[in-house]
Amino acid sequence: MAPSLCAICKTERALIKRPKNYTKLCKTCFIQVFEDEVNHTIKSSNLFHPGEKVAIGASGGKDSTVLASVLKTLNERHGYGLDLVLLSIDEGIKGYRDDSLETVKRNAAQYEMPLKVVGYDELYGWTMDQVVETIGKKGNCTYCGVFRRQALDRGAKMLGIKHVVTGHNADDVAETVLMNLLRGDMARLSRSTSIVTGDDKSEVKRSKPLKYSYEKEIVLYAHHKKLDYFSTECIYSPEAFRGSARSLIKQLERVRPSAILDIVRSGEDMARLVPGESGSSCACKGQKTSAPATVEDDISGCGSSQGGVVPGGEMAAMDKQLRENEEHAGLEIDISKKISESKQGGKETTEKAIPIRGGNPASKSGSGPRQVLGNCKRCGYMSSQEICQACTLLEGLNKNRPQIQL
Amino acid sequence: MAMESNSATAGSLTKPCKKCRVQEATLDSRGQPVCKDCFVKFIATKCVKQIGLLGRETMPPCIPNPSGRGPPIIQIRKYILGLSLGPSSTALLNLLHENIEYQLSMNRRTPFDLTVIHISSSLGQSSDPLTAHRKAYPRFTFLTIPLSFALTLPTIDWSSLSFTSFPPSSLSELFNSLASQSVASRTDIIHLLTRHLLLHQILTTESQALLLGHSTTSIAELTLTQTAKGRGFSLPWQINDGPFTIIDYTLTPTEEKKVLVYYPLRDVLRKELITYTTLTDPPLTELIPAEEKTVKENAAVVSHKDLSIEEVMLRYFADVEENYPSIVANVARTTGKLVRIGTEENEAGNLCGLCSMPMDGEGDERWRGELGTTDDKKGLGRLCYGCERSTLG
Repeated sequence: MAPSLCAICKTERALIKRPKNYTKLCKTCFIQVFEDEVNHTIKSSNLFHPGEKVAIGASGGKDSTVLASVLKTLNERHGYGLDLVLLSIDEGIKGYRDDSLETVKRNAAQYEMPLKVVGYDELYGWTMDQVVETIGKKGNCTYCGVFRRQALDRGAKMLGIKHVVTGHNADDVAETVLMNLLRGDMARLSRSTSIVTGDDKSEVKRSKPLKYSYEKEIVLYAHHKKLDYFSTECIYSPEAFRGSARSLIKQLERVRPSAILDIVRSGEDMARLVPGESGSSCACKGQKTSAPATVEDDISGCGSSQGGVVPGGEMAAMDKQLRENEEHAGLEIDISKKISESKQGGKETTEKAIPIRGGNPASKSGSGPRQVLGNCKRCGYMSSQEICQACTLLEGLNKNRPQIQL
Repeated sequence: MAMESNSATAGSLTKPCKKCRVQEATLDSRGQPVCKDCFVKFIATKCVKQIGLLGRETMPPCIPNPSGRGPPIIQIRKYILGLSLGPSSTALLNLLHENIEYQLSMNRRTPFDLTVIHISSSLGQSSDPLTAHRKAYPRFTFLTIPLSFALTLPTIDWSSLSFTSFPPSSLSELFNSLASQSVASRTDIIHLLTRHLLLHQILTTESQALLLGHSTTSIAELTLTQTAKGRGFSLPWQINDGPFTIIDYTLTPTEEKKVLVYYPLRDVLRKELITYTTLTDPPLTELIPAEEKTVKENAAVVSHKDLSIEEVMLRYFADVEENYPSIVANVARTTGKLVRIGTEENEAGNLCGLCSMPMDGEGDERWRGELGTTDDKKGLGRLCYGCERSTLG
């Protein structure tokens, strides 16, 4: 069989079978088409404006490294006029962050971008290693996710930057769509697919320029561009709800490569079908790319983004809780309030009728009160509840601290 | 007194049924030990509740009094049942039959007449797959319709598919002409054609509703299956009970028809229905062909290319149903709350020419995810995202 030629340039030998649609491409054309597609996403979604200062949430992993590389390339090629900065979070996980932070430091030099590192210890007084020492490995990803989310925003604020881009890819978004369907979480389903979260009211807006890029293509891009990235999984990585959705997506991708993109599409469309969403009445037809989301509960890079109520997000725990709810059908409101009182730990949280995220799944599935964005009473960070998730989690941790030190 | 006698009876049993307390519990019903009778009764109650809801939606048809005077004559409601021959639809057939028998035994009117329709996809089938069914349920009318009849349906806009000549003369011509040649696409289209044939039968049999045997598990499966096919927008039309618009494209101007689709077993898990088929006398398992009984989810995967999205989901949910049944129920319940957008504009131009589901113009405008395909794969714009994927690749 003669070697097949690249489907685009038709001169070079095809070396890559695109994971997304199985077309055979040469290395140069693959890199070009990958960058072109990200450019298309950025341009058509009006993600940036000239002169904008943008922080790239950099973990040293493949996604954020590719994002930094592609953005640098596109910024120069298409004259975006962006001022790009790398922003890294040090969770304080020995053996994980030490090495990946070194990678980020090298990236900063390679891409000639300034780097800012913000540590959990300076932000919260706790490193992740200390958190795990206190609460164990189960459910610690909740802490990490909640803390990281704020950490990026706070770091950006320190630098006077109003826009943070993250390396979430199409697989991550598709995974979140399926996960929210499995959890029956309509509120999150309606937000998780937006390319931009946070609107004019929020201090820092977030976007995901790689939202339509396949994880496999990101790996290929990093490989062929010989990018320097750190590939060890987080050592505290859990077997959470997300894992179940992830394995399902991998199987679907093998059956039909377009499935990942098709799930993202379904997720975007279903967001408008959630009761209480604006739906087709939106006047800005087709331009509604920004979700007025509460900033706390976007997808987190690793692990679960559970609201801290079902630790570790195990399916069994949720199944058990659902069964209890079924048994007590009709008393749903009371139950959810009780759960919130006991789990949230703080008396302040129950003073008003607060919509409880991650509480009783039945109460948050659409008919409940709409979430209103406000600010956390303690730290001032934006939150739909009086006390933000990070402060709630910290309170629990701090209560336990003396016992640990004994 | 009653309490005493109950506990006395219960005391003589090793494991009394949690519900009636007079029989030995031999089965598990949602975490409770129950006897066979209570298990069957529980399934029947779930079904009867839904049939009752449908009965309120549909008034029995009336015809004018043939004498020209007097009150109009009230006729019997007419439904059709889609029978795949699998455990769920077979269970529904039996439950509907028992419901009618019960009503008649109480000296009530016949609640509805039923035409049972099996869409046969197997080519050159010599024997009638419904012989045993006709014998077991002489009250009902049974029809077997070959899937290829879908090619003559007036309710599909064949011109929306870019054929040189349409409609295609055979199913193989249809499948061979599609740009997408995967098993996933082919299975998707077979499902669409089957549904279309059943919907069209509501019109030809002058019935009022189509009943489908989907269990809670199938509805949860369908939710994720359609999501994975890019058909999320039309989910509320596929998983909820209620009216559905089909269009006769052969008429000028095209004519809209509203039909009702119901899932009476939406509150019963698949594993419960499978158990149910073994508990009736005679057992329904005799009516279920061997290939429907084999547990597909356990078969080894030879090649993922030969799998459909439906099969992937079947395997996935078999596991979830076994270990976390409440999660299955929760998926079905919460996605049932998604609202239908665009019901007002359900006319020919707004419905997909192939699946008849509403199309999502706003979603198309917002969509930024290119699959990197070339322009010659662009459709005519009269197919929804999911149908473009299955026909054009």
